[in-house]
Amino acid sequence: MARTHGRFLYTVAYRLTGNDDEARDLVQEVLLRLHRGLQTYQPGSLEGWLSRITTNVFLDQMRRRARRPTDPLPDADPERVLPPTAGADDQYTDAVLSADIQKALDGLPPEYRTAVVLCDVAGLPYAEIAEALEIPVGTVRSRIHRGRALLREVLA
Amino acid sequence: MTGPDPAGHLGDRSSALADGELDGREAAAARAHLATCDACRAELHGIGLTRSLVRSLPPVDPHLGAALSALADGELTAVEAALAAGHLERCPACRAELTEVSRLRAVVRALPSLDPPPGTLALPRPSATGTSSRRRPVRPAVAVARRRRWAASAVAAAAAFAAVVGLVERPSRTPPARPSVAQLVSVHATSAPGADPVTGLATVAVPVSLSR
Repeated sequence: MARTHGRFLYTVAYRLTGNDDEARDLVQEVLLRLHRGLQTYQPGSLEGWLSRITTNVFLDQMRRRARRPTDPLPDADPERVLPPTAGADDQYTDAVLSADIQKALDGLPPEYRTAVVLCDVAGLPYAEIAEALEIPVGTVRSRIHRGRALLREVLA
Repeated sequence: MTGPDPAGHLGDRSSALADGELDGREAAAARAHLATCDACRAELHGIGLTRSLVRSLPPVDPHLGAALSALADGELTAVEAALAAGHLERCPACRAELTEVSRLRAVVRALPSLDPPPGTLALPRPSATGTSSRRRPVRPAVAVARRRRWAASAVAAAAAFAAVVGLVERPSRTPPARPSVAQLVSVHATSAPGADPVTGLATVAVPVSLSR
């Protein structure tokens, strides 16, 4: 169980941040918040709850970075574009493809990126995304659509 | 224009006459008046033109826009989905966009899930400033002491996390049933056999939603 959710958490964090260093930071910050705020957990979708905390931390970090423009953006680590999965011959092409898609995600404005990641990576329904991001469901809808439209322009 | 005119002009009855909504006696009286009154004839003519112009407007049928993503995600209400299906049959542009949206959706959903590197879940480190204070090779004594304290609380955090995820026994992420898309696609496929773009969508979208 913990392994499954750790994987979920790290995957969402990686897709949001686009690199391993920041993804690990994000996961650890989430774990700290979990530790402090366990009481606030209400039975429901565990993924929704984890995603909510993760995106809050992520958006906090984006805001912090926006206030400190001198803080260099970490480069995506090229040697670890894609952690090995159960591999086959086409693992290399998969890795290249994934890296391209990740790069396209990284290029999205954070509000679109979080909406798309929560939908397509975390697999949350719109209602839970709306809750996690504290925006109306209609806004979730348009952000996801706009995000996909932007991805399409980049990946065309 | 409102109310019966002292001179017997038609006023409001012009529109009723044009719409055939006057009863026999009123209509006869109105026609008798029209025969003698140029002003009322002119007004009736104008009303007739306006009426046919308005009636010739195409029905409002807006493009689906963001509803296309919601459709692909199975997030439309039944009514919305039915309206969307109707529009899709009429609108090649929206069909093409739905195909593209579904393709992008599938691409992102096909991204592999990632194993957290060892230690990621076990050792939350303090980071008062967020991202910048990590992995410094040289650590002053204070930081080391701080790190020990944190290590202790990190163990607790990890235990708490394990407790949370352990307590909540859920089946592995079953993808939510997305009946609307499949339903819509099949309905659409049977009703519009020539619409390849949408039929093509099924082969893209369906396996992906199952693969999660």
